[in-house]
Amino acid sequence: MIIQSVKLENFQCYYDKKEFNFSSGLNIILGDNGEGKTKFFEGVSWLLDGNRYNLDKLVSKKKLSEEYNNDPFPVSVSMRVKMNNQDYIFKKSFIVKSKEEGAKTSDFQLVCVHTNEKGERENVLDDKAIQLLDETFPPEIRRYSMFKGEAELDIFKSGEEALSNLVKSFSDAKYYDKYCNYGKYLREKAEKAVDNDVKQSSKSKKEFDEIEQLITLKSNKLNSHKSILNKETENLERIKEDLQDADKHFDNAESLKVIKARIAHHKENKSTAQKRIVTDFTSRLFDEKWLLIHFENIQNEFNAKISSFEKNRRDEEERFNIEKGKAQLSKEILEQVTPLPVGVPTLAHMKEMLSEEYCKVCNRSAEKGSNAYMYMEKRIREFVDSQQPKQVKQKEKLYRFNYLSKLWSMSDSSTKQVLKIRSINQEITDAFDFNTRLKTNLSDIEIKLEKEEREFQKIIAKSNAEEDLVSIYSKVKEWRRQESNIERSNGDTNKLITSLEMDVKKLKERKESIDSKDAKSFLVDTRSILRDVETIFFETREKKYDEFLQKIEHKANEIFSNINVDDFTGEIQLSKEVKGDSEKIKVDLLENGNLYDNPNQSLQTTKHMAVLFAISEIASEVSSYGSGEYPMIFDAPTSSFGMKKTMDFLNLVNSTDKQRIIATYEFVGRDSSGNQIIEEEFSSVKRAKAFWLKRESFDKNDLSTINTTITPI
Amino acid sequence: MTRKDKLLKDYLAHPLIQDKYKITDRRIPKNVDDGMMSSSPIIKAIAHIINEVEYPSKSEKEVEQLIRKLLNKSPL
Amino acid sequence: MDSLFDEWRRVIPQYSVRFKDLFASLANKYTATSEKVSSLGKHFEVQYELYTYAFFLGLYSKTRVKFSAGEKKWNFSNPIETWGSRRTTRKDYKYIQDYMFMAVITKSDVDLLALEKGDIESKEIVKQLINVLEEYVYGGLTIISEKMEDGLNPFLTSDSFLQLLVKSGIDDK
Repeated sequence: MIIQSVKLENFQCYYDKKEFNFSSGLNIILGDNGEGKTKFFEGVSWLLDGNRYNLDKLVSKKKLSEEYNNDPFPVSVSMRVKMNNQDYIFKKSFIVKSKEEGAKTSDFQLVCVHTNEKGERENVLDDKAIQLLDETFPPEIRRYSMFKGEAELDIFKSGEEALSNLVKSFSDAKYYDKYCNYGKYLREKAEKAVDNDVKQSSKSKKEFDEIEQLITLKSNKLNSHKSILNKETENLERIKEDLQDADKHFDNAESLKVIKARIAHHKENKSTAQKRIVTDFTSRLFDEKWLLIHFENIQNEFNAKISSFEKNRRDEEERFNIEKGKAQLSKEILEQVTPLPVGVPTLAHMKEMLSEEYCKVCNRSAEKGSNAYMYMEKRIREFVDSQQPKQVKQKEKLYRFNYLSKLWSMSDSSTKQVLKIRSINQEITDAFDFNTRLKTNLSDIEIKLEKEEREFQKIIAKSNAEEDLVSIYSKVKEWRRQESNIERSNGDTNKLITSLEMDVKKLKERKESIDSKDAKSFLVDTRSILRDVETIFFETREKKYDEFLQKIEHKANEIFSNINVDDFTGEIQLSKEVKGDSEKIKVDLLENGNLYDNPNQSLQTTKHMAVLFAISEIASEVSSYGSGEYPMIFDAPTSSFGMKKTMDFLNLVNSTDKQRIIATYEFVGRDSSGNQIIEEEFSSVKRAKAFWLKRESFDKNDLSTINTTITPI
Repeated sequence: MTRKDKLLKDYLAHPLIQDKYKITDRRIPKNVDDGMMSSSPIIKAIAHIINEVEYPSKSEKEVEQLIRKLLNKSPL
Repeated sequence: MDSLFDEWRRVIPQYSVRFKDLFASLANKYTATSEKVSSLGKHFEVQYELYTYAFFLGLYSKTRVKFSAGEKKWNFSNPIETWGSRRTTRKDYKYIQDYMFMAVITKSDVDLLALEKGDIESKEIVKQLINVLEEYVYGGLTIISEKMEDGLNPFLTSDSFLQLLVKSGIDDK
């Protein structure tokens, strides 16, 4: 049987009519969380098994909110199925009548349009339609074909799934069941016949009765002990599970503590790193003197200028002084060739000559006002002056100020900074490099921080962890106490049971010996044969069950080794386990013959998948389902796998050619503008068909905007 | 092979048949009809039971009595 | 006697009024912490920083622009001698006064000997030096404002001004 299409009309997020057209082989539905994958699954489930309650919750809010349309509208899910060259369209629908305070819905009806091999068509309703539905997709098959989420894959979880269910659905072993009851019944009857016969003969009646009573007594005791043991064993198992959970809790809490510490550490590093990253380059221009980066040439020019000024200054001053000196000299030379020293002739002589107006040196008159007279006056003056204490006479200067000295010292001291200026370029480059390194460092820290935070979220999601460790500790103490109590009492009970069993066995032997002596031989013989018949029936059935389990186990391991290519190297083991009054199936992983403890989630999922696929293959071989193959529908079965493993898994499923519809959020990502995209890697996933579910412009606060679109890829 | 014949085959494959009842392969009947005629009481019993279970025509009690009668009549 | 340097730096230099908006957008009016500055989107903590920067920019890229006749001038009331004093989050950078002074001396034609002789008043020399300063600043501010007129804000990153200054001396032969 394959599903050809599924149509959803106004069903939850599927506004109006939306259709999935499937083909045989692998069909992949991609969609981010909340975009409609699970609603698709729920749609199909509702069609197959849905009940009549709360239909209003299934109505598309967007359709409800349409104001311009007050007419009643339909809500439906339909599925087109092909089996044995026959075509079936199943449609479950109801009408929504009014919209005042929500939806008022009619009851639903199931309709089937069935076209047979000859092309003849018939319409069937309700019960008949249900019957056809169960024929095409039997409930016991559905149970092993549709899974919502990774957790549901574990169908054998804590023995919830009875072996007999599986057998009933998929194995011929079910036929052997009835015979066990028959065999038991016949044996009991035969035994009773013998007993009655013995009782009638008076010989050993008394002894016989006594023994029978004892046997009954002890058997009752035995049974009650056994049932106590069963109950206690169940309790023990539960306690052991709780202890395991607590352990995981501690591990999680421990891990959380460690991760929290790491997160804090990274955050600290991050803020330190951020602080160190330089952003005030403009201020550094000033603070670090980077402004002077190209100043060297100007410095040199300045130095040269000041230097030349200084030289010029000296030169001019020199020249000036020389000039001045020269003038002085020539002035003096003009007046005398070699002037007589002062005081020659003497003052008295000079005064005498002056008063007589006659120079007695050159023997001529020197009248008042004549050159000779004036010269004599001058000589007298000079002499008088030379006797006076000397006054420092202010020399005439070229330069009034000395601005240059300050400039000179400025030039001098700044020249010492030239080395610093030369190193600025390198300093700037170094600062940038350092900054780049800091930024790289920062982004490394941010990546690490993100990783830890994701880990943290994962663990929290798994375990609602952060529960009070103290309360868990006290529970664990109590559990451990109970555990050892039960184990002790079970030990005692077991001993009791063993001794009682021995007693009963001995009593029965004694009874047998009386029987054989006293009862009619053919009754004894009949009894013996029927005992053997019962044994044969029971043991043959067990054998069939075991064969069936082995078949599943073998197939599961074949598949397992394909899915799990690069990881775990062990195998799956299926075994029977008696729990209470039914047999359950245990699914374990073995590595090198030893039980593999605590497999991680993805390994568990792979194990479950392998078993489910094995069951599906076996189901297709079972004669009572004439149609062979059945599709399987999975909603997000590989959440724990990651992208690469999911890819490998999907490629593998594709190679089986059976119709598998798998919905996943893997491969849905976002581009740099935040828009949803399908990751490149998806193009290498081999499949028959793929669909992309997207919610159109969704407003979180307004549910009436929800509308999922289906885009084939 | 019909289902009841398969059942007979499976049941008669049990070791008890060979070990305790010493019935060799040769003597194991191929189908239920033959089995019901067998001279071995256990084979006869099993064959009749199968016949009744797969095609019930009698109540359990009646079957039981039938078995008894069969067993009574056949020599061991 | 006051040194030429001291006299020069008592002046409040000016800039063309057409750059008033530029100062408003790039520099902070009153001193503020660097965080406040960056949150206001400004690069320079104080106005004279932009002024100084523009000077060096004009100097290194040899861009000197004369004021047009009658062109209005503006200033920000801090004489040069106050520029670069230490603030809480920054270092002392008064050295810029010395270097700017050396640069203007270098680039001007002042006759220092005449000054020494007393033939020219120091006031006159200082005026010439300030003129050189203002013209280089004019050049630097012109470069900056032309870049901003080009459309996209070229000074978005924290290192834009640094890079501009570094590049300005590259074609120096």
